[in-house]
Amino acid sequence: MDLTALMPETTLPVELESQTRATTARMDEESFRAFYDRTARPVWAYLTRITGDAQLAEELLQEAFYRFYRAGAAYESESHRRNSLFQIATNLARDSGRRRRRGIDVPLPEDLAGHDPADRAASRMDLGRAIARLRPLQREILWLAYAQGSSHEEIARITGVSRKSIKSLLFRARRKLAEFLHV
Amino acid sequence: MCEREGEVIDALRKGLVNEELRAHAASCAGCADLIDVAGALLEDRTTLMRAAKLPGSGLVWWRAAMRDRRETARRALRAARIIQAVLVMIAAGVGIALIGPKTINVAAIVDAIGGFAVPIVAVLALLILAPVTVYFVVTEE
Repeated sequence: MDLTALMPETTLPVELESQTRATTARMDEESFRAFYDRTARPVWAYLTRITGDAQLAEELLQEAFYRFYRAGAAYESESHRRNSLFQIATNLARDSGRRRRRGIDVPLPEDLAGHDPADRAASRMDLGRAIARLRPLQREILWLAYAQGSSHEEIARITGVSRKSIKSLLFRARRKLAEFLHV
Repeated sequence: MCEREGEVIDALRKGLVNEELRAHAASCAGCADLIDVAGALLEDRTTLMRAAKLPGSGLVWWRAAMRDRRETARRALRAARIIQAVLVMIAAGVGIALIGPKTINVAAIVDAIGGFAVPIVAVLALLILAPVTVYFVVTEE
């Protein structure tokens, strides 16, 4: 496993940024696979938490990568490319949420529960339930800001919310989640 | 918002929230929330990513490439069908224009509109048949 993928996303090393700079048209297999290896886990974790469904998150992840590949757009940098993928994933999750039109009740992937000490699993279950009580946009913003480490500008681009609104939205969402965690 | 929030987030990401910051958080509701929320989300992300069982990059690439080929082929086939339909309609229009006046024997009408009978009948036939044929081709998709 590539442990660097577990760290919050900020920026890539300069050499990797420059390698991916000004990449145009459709990705070749090598680039696609390397990009997938770097980003699939963080995107899946994000999708899992904003949809509340690990299985659905995997389906959306594959769809997101397909659409990303199919778009064949040019990107200025690795972070730009990664943000585009998150944007696609966000839109897919929103579409899926609109289609489902039902409550989120799967905060924890089933296969995780068996590997965790009971108290940690319970703690994450609480977090999952608390997140599920938030509005979708609040989930997205909180995860991107604190789990993913995205800047306000990146969050604005991914979620389609104006940059000026992010600060206040984030503050309110954080307050809300803290309340839910303490209930 | 507290001006030390950036410092708190940095410390959380590094896993180094020292006593001094904790003491500050005890008297700062914003930083206390931040430690609870951001700390929980960071830990959750790490746990989820470690436990993720995702298909390999090779499989995802293969699926994307196959789907892309199918999609490209489907679009090409659809375009070919539309062109084919238009050609059939043109042929039908020309056929009607050539045969129609003879079988219907509308010599008087032809005389009345002069030498424009053939193109007029062809265009009329095309205008009638084209939307119908395109509709059937598209709805079949």
